[in-house]
Parts: sequence; structure tokens; C-alpha cells
Amino acid sequence: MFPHSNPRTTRQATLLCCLALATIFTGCGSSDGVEFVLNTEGVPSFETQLAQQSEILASQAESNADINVDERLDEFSDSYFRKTDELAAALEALFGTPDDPARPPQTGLDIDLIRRAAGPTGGADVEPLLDEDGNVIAPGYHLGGLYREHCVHCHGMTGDGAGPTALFLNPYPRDYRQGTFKFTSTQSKEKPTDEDLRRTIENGLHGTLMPAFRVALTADEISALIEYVKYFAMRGEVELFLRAELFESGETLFFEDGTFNGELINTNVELVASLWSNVTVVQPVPRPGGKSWEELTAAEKQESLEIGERLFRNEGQCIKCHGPAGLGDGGQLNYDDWNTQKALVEDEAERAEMWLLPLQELKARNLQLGVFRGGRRPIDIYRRIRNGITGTPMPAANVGGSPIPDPLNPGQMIEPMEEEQIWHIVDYVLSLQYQRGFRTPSPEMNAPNGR
Amino acid sequence: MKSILLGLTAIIVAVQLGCGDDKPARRAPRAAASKPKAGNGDTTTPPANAEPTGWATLTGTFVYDGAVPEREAITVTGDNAAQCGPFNLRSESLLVNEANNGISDVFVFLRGMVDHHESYNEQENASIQLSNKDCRFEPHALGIWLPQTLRVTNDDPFGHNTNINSPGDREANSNMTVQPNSEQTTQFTRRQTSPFPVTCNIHPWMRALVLPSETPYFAVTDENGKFTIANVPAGIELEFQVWHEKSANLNADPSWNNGRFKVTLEPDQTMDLGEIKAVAALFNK
Repeated sequence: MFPHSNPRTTRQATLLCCLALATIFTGCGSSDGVEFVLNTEGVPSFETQLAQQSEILASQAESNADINVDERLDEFSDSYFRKTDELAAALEALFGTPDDPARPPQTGLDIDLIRRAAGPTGGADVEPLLDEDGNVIAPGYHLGGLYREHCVHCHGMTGDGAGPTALFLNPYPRDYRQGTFKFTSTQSKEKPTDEDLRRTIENGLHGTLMPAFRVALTADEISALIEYVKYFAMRGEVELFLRAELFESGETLFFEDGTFNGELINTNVELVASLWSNVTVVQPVPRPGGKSWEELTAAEKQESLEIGERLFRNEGQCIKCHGPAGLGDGGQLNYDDWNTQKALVEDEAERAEMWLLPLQELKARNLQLGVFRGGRRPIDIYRRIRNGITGTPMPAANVGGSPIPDPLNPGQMIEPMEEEQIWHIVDYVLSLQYQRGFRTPSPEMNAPNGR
Repeated sequence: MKSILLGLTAIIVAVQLGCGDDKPARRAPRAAASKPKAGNGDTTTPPANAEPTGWATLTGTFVYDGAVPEREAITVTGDNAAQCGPFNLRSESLLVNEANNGISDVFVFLRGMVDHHESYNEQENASIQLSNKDCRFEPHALGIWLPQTLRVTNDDPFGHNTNINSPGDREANSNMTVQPNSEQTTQFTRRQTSPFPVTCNIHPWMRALVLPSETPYFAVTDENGKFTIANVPAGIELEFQVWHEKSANLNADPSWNNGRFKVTLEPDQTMDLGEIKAVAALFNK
């Protein structure tokens, strides 16, 4: 399947390939961009990698006459393109194409829902596939085209969050391919439930460019899009694992006779599927005293806010990023998981070569604005604090445990924060938006604290 | 070359023939996944029939071949400046000993599963400590055997958070706050083929490298670039992986591929690989 071409001709062949691709793209307008592209986020270009290899080998050859630099570079090129081809071929075999999606059965994904979301805008019928005698090998089906109608301009054909609109948005649209989702009801770092994704699509994300689709789409249509988002996420994470198998571990995905390395590929598909099927939804504990905010007396409300503020400033460690007055000014420059690696590369041109979108900073939320991306119901705020926000610096609250010595007051102990006390922080956070004007930190609040 | 040209022409023709078709292109049915054939290339397990004939020790020293690189100063701002500024923090991504050019924090670990020597039994349930101390992680690089427990402590008088992202390890991964004098424990359930970073977001420069391993046969080089792995199985071929934060798989010796070398040790032998020189150009990540 991947004939080993003469290494010496590989780099010339690459050039020819580029020419051929140029012909394809200019010659056929209608098929432009209707394909999945490989995830090369954070990967230096082939030319850069070749230059790096060349420098290493030249340096090693100075003290080792046995090194044939040219031969080694040809080997490197050959292996690079073979691995890239293997990765693309394996992904297509497992997950199909934008116009003919597939899914490995282990993923548990519903192909009918995926087809409803996939395909060209306005939908399309796909003819059955027949053998030479006219027998049906694969039945025909309808593609619904929902994703390309409603989502692709931001989230991109490959679900990479880099559609044509993405560059102009802050925050960027979600790149699904890491399988990381922020607003979840599950344990820290776990995958979202379908209901979590539904809430995001139905209500949108306040304070971002993600609109609410609850009016534009029916519940069934949203179900199709949820499945397609999960499809992108599983496909994307399988791609990352297979890339590591090929480029880091030196494994191969296809044998010389062109057959799949089924065991290796299945292991990775099953791993990703298991991350989605095994999640623990965190059931919120009841509020202290069992009364909702509305049922509290004025004095009880005041008390809850005071406890909340204390926890916000101390045990909860919230001020470390959100600042003493919740203005989001407490921490230092930070990034989400999609930007962390970019920030480590100082040279802008180098970054542009390695990532689709420029570096974007992440600010801790200004809680006085009262705009909460994951929703403004008390339960939404509770979940953000209890479970953290996956893919961002926002950690999950550390609750329970035994009393610990107070580092600032020797001899005294600090009681651990209990899970139900998170509700006091919720009350406090939700109260910040109702103050007259922005509240700035009082001198007392500026006193050294910083636990 | 002629055949490549012919092939490309065929592709171009085929694609252009398909242009007029409004219907989505249908692919041929997918081949069923097949079992891998035995003995294929790069596997992670040693030959099944091999039995160790005893136990031996592997040691060696990684030496930086070039001028000792400068460690960049870390910028701390806001609250962090008051708490962490006094430590005059510097980057830990490449530590080279000024006296002997030894490279710290090079991981050397066994690939594949083998039975371990009984001397490791008592470490099986140990907890391995990773401290938040003086606005950095101590140690910067560590390996952990899967049965062991990672214990993250906070020795600073202010809060940290511990962001653990071990690829595919649902049970282990979390991002939790760690208050002063407190600790949290993590049990890894998946071996990794390379170390992954543990970070603290409150102090974004903080980074430790952790390798969950399915055997106890791993080591991290000390400040002189030296590593020692004791009581490894003798008489069978072992493959070791070498990895550094700034190079990933480290092909220190040009004969290595993917940062790997193979050795077969005699019983009771101490094999010293001597000084392994790594050229500066390798550390380009």
C-alpha cells in the first residue's frame, strides 16, 4: 500500500505532489475544502524538521566519520511522508470523510445522527454502492448538512475551530480535536455528557460568539449535531494517539501487505471510546440548611455572603486569579490548553508556522460583570467551582479532608472546606454583579493574604 | 521516477473527471481491521521465550557537547512577584552542570514488560512525593511505577493548583487546588511512552515532568548527568528509551533511533555506558 520509493527521489516527489495538489485545487472549484485535514497543531513544518535534523547530523558527523548525512536525511524524509500517509489513510478508514462519514463501532456513535449533521449544505442523497453484478454492497443514505449550514464557518470542516470566522473571534471557537470541553457536569477533566453539550448548543455561551440554537434548530437536529461534535472529538483524539504511536513510539499502522495493524489501532480507538463512556456526573450536595437562596431570610443571606467572601479569599483560593474584588485581575498572564504550547514559542513567525490561529491570552473572568459563559444559574456556578473548567487554568475545588496547620498563624489549624460550602461561594459570586458600580478592593482586602 | 509521474497524472485525471458530479463522492468499502502478524518490526515486548539468567546493573552519564546554555530568568508579576520573586527563579528545561557538562533530568526507561527483581517489592506501594516548594516543583522530573501513588504536597505558605494531564488516564487526571500544608494523591492507571508535564496555573512557569511506567526500571539523571538502574534482568535483550524535555526522544548516540538502544547484560555485570555525548543541536524543542 505504501511502496517504499527510492529515498533519493522522495523529496523531489514531494515537490511533484505539491504541483499535483495545486492542479487539483485550482481545477475543481466545487470540491474545495471538503476534506479533513491532519492535525498539525504545534508540529513544525517538514522543512523546519528537516533543517533541524540536518543540523543535528552535521554536528554529530564532526566527531563521527561514519555518519552519512545525506543518506540519513533521505531516510528521515521517507519516514516522515510514510507516517503522514499512514495516519491519513487510517483516519479515513476509521472515520470516513466529510461527505461519507463512518465510525468504528467501539465508539458507540450513532451513524444515522452523524449523517444527519454531515454532508453539503441543504443535504444530499448518496447512492447505494453496487458491485459489478449490481448487488448492493452498502445502502444509500441521506446527508442532512446541518453542520455545514450552522457550524462550519466558525468550527471548520475538520472541527478544528479554525473556520473562516475564527480569526476574528475571542475566545476562538472550540477546536474539538483534543476532546476537551469546558462546561461539564462531570468530574474534573472528564468528558461532557450529551446533556452538557446540548445545553451549550441550545443556550449558546454568554459573552462569546457562540449563539443559542434553541429556536433555530429542533431538539432532533441538536441531537444530530451533538453526535457530530462527539464524532469530531473522538476522531481528533484518536488522531493524536495514533500520531504519537507513529512519530514518538515509532510504531506502524499498516503492515507491508497493506493490512491494518488492527490491534494497535483498536487499542487506541477503544481507549478514546472508554473516556467518553466512563464519566461520573457530579450530583450537587444540598445547600447548607436545605433552603434555596430565595427562601433565606435577609440575615441568613448576609451570613451566606460573608462566609462566601471568606472562602473566596482564603480556602477557595479564588482571589489568586479572580482578584480580591472578583475583577479577574488577580493572577498573571495565562492561557487555555489550546494556547499554552503556543505561549512557549517566542518567535511569532515560528508560531504561525506551527499553529492555525495566533496566540490568544485567557483572562480570569471578571465576576462583577455577571456574564458567565457556562450559564448563570446557581447550579452552573456550583459546577464550575466544584468540577473546575476543563482545558483552562480554573481548578476544581479541593473539598473535605482533615484540618491543616495555618501557615500564617503558627499553632492554629484551618478547617478544610466542605462541599456544601461551595454554595456560599456561589451566592457570593452571584452577588458581585449587583453592587453599585465596580467595587474596588478596600485597603483591608489588599492586606497580605494570598492563601 | 517515471512511475511516480504516471501515478500523479492518473490522480489528477481521476480528480478532474469527478468534478462535474454534484453528489458526494462515495468511497470503496473499508477493509476490515486485521490482526497484526507475529514478529512485525517494532513491538514493545521482548521475545516470549526469553528467561532472565540473573540480574545486572546499567549505568551511564549524559554529557552536553557544547557551551553550557544560560538558564533564562522567569518573569513573575502581580501577587506572584511578592511571593515568588525572592526565589530568583530560572528556567529548568535544560540543566547542564557547569563543572562537568552533565545533563540533569534525562529520563532512561525500559520499554516493554518484564518481571522485576525482588529488591523492588518494598517500593511497590510507596508514595512518590512531588512538592510545591519555593514556587517550583521538587523534583523537576520523576518516574513513577504504576502501583505507586503520586503524593503532591504544598510546602509553600500560599496556594497552588496541580494540573495533571496524563494522556488517556481518566482516573488520574484532574486539576485541583492544593492549600498550604495539604496534599493530594493520584494513582496512575496507564503507562506512558514519554513523560508528560504536570503544571500549576496560578504560577504558570511551574512544570514537572512525570513518567508513569509499568516497570520499576527507569531513572532520571542527577546533577552530574549520571543514571543507574539496578537489578535489571540479565541474559535477555532489553530496550531502553532515552528522553529529555528539550529534545523529546533523545538520539544522543547517532546510531540510536527514536532515542532507543538495546543491551543484553551478563548476570552480576555492571555495564557502564560511560560518557554519552549529546550535541547541543539535539535540544531544539
